[in-house]
Amino acid sequence: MGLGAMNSHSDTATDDNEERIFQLEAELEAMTAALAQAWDQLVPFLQAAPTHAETTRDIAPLLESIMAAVDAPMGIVYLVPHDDKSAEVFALPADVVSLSALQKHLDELISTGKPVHISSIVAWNSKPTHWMFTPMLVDNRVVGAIGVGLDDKHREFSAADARLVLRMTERVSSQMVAADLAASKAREAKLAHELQIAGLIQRSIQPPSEPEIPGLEVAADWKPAASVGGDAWGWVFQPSGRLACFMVDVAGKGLPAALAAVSLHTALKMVLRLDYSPVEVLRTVNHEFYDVYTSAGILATATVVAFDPATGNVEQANAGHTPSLVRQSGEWRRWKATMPPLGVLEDVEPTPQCAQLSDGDLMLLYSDGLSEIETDDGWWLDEGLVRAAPESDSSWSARQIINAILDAAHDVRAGKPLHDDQTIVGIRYRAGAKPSTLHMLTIAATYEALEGLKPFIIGVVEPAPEKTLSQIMLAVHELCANIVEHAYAGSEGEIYIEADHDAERLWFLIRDAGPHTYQAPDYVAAPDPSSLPESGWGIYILHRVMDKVEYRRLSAGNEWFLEKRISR
Amino acid sequence: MAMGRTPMQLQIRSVDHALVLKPAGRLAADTHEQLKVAWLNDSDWKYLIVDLSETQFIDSIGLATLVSGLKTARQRGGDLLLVNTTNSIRIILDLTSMNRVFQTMPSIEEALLWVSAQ
Repeated sequence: MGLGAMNSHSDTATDDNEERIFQLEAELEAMTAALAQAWDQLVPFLQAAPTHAETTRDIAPLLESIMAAVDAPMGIVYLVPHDDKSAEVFALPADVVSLSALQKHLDELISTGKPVHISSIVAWNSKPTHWMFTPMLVDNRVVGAIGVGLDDKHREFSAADARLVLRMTERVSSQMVAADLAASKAREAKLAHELQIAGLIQRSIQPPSEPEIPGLEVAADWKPAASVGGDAWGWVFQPSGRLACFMVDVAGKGLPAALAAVSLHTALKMVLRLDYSPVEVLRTVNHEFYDVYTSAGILATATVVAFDPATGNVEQANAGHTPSLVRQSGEWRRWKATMPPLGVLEDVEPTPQCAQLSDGDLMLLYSDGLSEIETDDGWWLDEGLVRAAPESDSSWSARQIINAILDAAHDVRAGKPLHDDQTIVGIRYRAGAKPSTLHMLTIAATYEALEGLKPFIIGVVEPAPEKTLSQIMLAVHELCANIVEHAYAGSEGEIYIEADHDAERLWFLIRDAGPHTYQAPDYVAAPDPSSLPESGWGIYILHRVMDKVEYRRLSAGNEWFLEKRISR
Repeated sequence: MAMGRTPMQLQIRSVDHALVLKPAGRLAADTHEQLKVAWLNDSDWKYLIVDLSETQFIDSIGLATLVSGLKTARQRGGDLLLVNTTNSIRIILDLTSMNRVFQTMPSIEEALLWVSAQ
């Protein structure tokens, strides 16, 4: 062969290669265009598909899009059994082939995690079909399979079809994971919401402030644990002039414990207002709650203490609660429970524990969250509280003593989180306290209870002119009615009123623990009488009568200070 | 020492075109509805006469109820008269200047005479 012939041969080969390249490029271009067109068609399907897929029917739109992508007239979605659900199958058309015909192939797919091709499966219309199944993988675990089927014996699924179905199936698998995660997140969010409500409930019953009464110093501290518990404390000025303090601890955590604590707290306050002794209170409440607690499996401990500030007498009844600690003349005594926790026995006869306190004597009530702190040597217990309390020194206030105990508890805990609520109340007796002109009243935040304002205000204001008395009565009533309507807005609560006077002025401090705030302008214009207004009078009357009206929002509740110049 | 509730006792009688109401007790946020229900349940009156001789206390809600009664009466072409206002009632009327709006009469008889003359 001569050079010319060789050149001719190589020219031909080059031409063939070039032609082949052109052909391949054209095929690649066509394939790319086809894929792009298919993707353009699929994207709207994908975007319209549900974001939460749990059952096969949830991802049916995706199946349809996959079928359309590979031009398959049939499709199947198969989900393997999981949790308490059995295997699920969804087919288009419905029941196109029986699951039993596919099962052994699906079992192979599940065990290998690889696609399977199935031929000669007879469809419902007796036509032979062939299928391509692709596994749905989540964290390398087969959760199901997507199958596309043809009933055209002249057509087979191509490699491009297989790649397309594979990519589409990966997308569906992700959505299945998203559905599981979404369900888990929904459950967690619900639980968190319930715990938040329980926390708000528990916080709402804690007193916003300690009582102030001549002859007694009261200091308290309540620290909730990370998980909502059933600790609560409270106080009531009894009609006889005694100050009653109580502490409860409902066993358990979360919403049930918080709700049980609320009802017990309310019941104790209501019965204490009837001037019952601590023994009578626990006997009554235990009897009333026995059936409910028994059927609900609730257990609650409670301590009730009543102090007479005029005499220094103290009386306690303790239902299964941690022992109270009483320091008399420097000597500590432990007052243990004298009856079981509430709800254990239907009828009980608790034994009262009494003492006559001297000036400077101290009493501590606390919850087991404070005493049951684990140390290197064992439990802190009440011995820990006793060691932490400052030596008997009249210069230490109840607040300083409580803070010293809490600081010591904090050091012992060494930064570990609270596993239980910590509650402590300290009461120090101060004999010979100067008689005060301070008047105090606690009333329920209801319109009916406002009737109790009249005798209280008479006691504070007299002897003052009748007109002054009527004006002050009206002003304080209007403010309290406002608190009932706006601060509490239908929820239960109390209004705390302190009043005092000197020769020239009279003042009121009115607090609530309501969840709602006020807009309290410094100036309130009078509604125009000629327009016959049916609202807007209350706060206006308050400002007309009082010489000073100040408002501030507390961390939990509202506080009003009212002052009126008077001549006596 | 129990704080008993003193619900409002309400006497109602009709005289010609007037409905005479006598609330005894507190006319306040927890009791005022009784007054309103009384005049809404009767369609024959044109004038309301409210005898306050036994009303021990009235607050802004009670006052608003009286204003509501006044409006209703005027819609019927009549009026609302306050009778036997006590010192405590005059306190709230003075504070709110509503004493310029309500007609007051010293007795029921004079109120009925005034009504019959309209």
